[in-house]
Amino acid sequence: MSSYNWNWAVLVSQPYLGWLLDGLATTVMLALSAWMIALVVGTLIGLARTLPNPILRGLATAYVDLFRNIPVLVQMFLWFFVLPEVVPPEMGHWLKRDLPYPEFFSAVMCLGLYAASRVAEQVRSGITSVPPGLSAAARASGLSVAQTYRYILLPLGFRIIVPPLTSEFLGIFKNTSIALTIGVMEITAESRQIESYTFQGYEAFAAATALYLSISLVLLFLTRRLEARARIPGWISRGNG
Amino acid sequence: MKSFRIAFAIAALCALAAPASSQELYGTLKKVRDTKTFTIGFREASYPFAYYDDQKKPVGFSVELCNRIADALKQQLNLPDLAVRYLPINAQTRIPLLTNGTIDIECGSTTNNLARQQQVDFSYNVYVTGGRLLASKASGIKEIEDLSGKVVGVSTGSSNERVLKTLIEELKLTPPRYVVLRDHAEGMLALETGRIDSYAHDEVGAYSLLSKSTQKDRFDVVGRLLSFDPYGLMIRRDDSAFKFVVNRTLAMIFRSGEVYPMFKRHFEPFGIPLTPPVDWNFKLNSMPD
Amino acid sequence: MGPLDANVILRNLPYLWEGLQLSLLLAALAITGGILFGAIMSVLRMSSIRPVAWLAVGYVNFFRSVPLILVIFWIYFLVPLLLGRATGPFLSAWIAFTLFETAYYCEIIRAGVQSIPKGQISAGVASGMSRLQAMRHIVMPQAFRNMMPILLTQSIILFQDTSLVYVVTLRDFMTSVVTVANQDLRLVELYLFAAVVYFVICFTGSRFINRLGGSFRR
Repeated sequence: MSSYNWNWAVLVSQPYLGWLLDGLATTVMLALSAWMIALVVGTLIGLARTLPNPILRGLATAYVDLFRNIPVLVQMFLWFFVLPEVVPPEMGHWLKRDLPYPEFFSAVMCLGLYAASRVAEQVRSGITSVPPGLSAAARASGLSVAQTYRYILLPLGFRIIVPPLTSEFLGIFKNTSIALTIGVMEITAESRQIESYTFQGYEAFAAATALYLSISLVLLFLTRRLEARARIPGWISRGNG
Repeated sequence: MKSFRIAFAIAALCALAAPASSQELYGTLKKVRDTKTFTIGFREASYPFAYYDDQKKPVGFSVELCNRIADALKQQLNLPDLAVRYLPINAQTRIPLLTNGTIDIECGSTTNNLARQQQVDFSYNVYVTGGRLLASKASGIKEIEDLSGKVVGVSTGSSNERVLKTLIEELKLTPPRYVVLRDHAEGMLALETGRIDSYAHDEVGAYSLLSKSTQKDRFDVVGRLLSFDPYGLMIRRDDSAFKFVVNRTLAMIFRSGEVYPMFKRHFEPFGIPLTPPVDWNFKLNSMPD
Repeated sequence: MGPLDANVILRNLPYLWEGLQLSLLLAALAITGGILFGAIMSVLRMSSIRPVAWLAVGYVNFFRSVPLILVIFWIYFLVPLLLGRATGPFLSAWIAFTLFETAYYCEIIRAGVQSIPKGQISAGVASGMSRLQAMRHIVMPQAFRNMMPILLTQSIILFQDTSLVYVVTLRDFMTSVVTVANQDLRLVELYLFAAVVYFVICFTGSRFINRLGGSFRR
């Protein structure tokens, strides 16, 4: 280690501290935006996978298979580099130039739709784990399919899958680091930037690691509280996340 | 031819002298002798200094200089079967990989500046250039002052990035929107696909990218020189014995005049002429024995 | 960027194939290392010696809390310094993936073992086996069968994750794809090709697991 000069003070000096905080803000924004997409799209897809209609079910299955079997990094490049070139030129130009933050947009879409395929699987298993007798009883007492989902399957299903869903959020949060490959300045990218300006790479990585750890700990704590509230009394909790 | 013979004679003398000093080998020389490998870090798209040829082999002016240094090591350490490895690096990985011993020398187009000299050392300068802007003609960019409101690509970890941002601050200009790119190939790509209006680069690199482009007429190298960038080969600090081998090899190539055909071979395909400052750099570093 | 050009892929096929071989090799080595150390870690995790179990829990939670990219960077830059000698980027990547995946495999193996009722060990001991024998002949075969599909699924995820070594320019499949794409200015073709190749490998793999999962179920 003789050729390395340690200097931890660099982390609390400006502008580097500011860069780290910017990176933190970007990571959090990215994770939250992607999570919203994942939740909405994932619920719809997961729901479609349990429907009686075979076409909808097939499409939803295809979505899950497609998004789960391509690495996130490749998906990131498809959104950022390929999509603007294969759409009509005006739209490509809009994607590349008129959006306020094209790389952020690409990253949100990529992370959100990828996570949606994972959320869909959780939603599906949540719904299918509701005992069939319940929905049969609902139908027998005059509820329509939509009503059965609205009042029986979804509320119960969601409470069952709260633990795996929160762990999916942790997954999105960690995947945000892949956005650095298309130029999004999130925590890891900022720590790399600090390294190339100050040559204090290990200090910068340590700071990034500490930030990720503390966010994860906070999430873990929130998860525990949420799990306790979502638990259905008398129900054996499942969950593989 | 005569100069070549002298160079050979000197190399032979050095080879003879080598065993006497092999006891006190240290630093890179010791590492190379112990591991019987010499690892050259190269840039993948720093034309014409280091880049992939059609067979995806690293080539370029700096790479050839480094190959010559590898040859000198073989003689100096009496290791004819020395393995020479090539490792791709980028602007962000080059310094950590050098200081942690993964690569032994960096062959690209790294600006020899004082900030970097606090962490690493440099060979004699092998080229001199300066920062300029590669811009699309449609953007109307002529000078750094025109960048406000535009989208500008910068390569992460490059000195061009830092120079541009500092200048824009000093000139109190409205900063453009920056797009962070991994290397120069990605920079040209972003220009060609209309993602950015301008790419901050060195003059020599900008012209090289332009000459490689299939859409040359759409772009131009514009504006004044934004910085002075002497290029050196990066080596580890406090390693005089290895630095001596590196610099002696360079001085011999410069002094013997071998450098001129070498220069022509690497730079002419990109349409880069030998400028007086570059010529003077070779002459000033032609150290006598 | 002009019409699609399949030639660029054909022309660079040998180069891309070399990259794919490196990806597959890295994945295979990391799966081996990850399962091996994951099994050891899971034993420590279930240890009745509290500090040992805590250390294992700390390890698992640490690596499950940080992004893989960060671990790759750390190992890539730090390991040569710690070992005091140069390590190739491939070795660094292998170490990074093994350390990271150990945490995930550990949890899978632990869940598999704990899915077997404890009573079975007692029953084994009561019928004259040692605890170790009971583990080896009663618990492990069942646990292994239970966790096999998840272990394999995790291994497919690992294979996808090897693409991340692109950030340290180790020449895997993804890095080769990017190199060709940038050099020949053929992003659309190359990135779509990458997507197809990864999809075919991973989809085939997951179908295989599904069928296997069926035959494993009692």
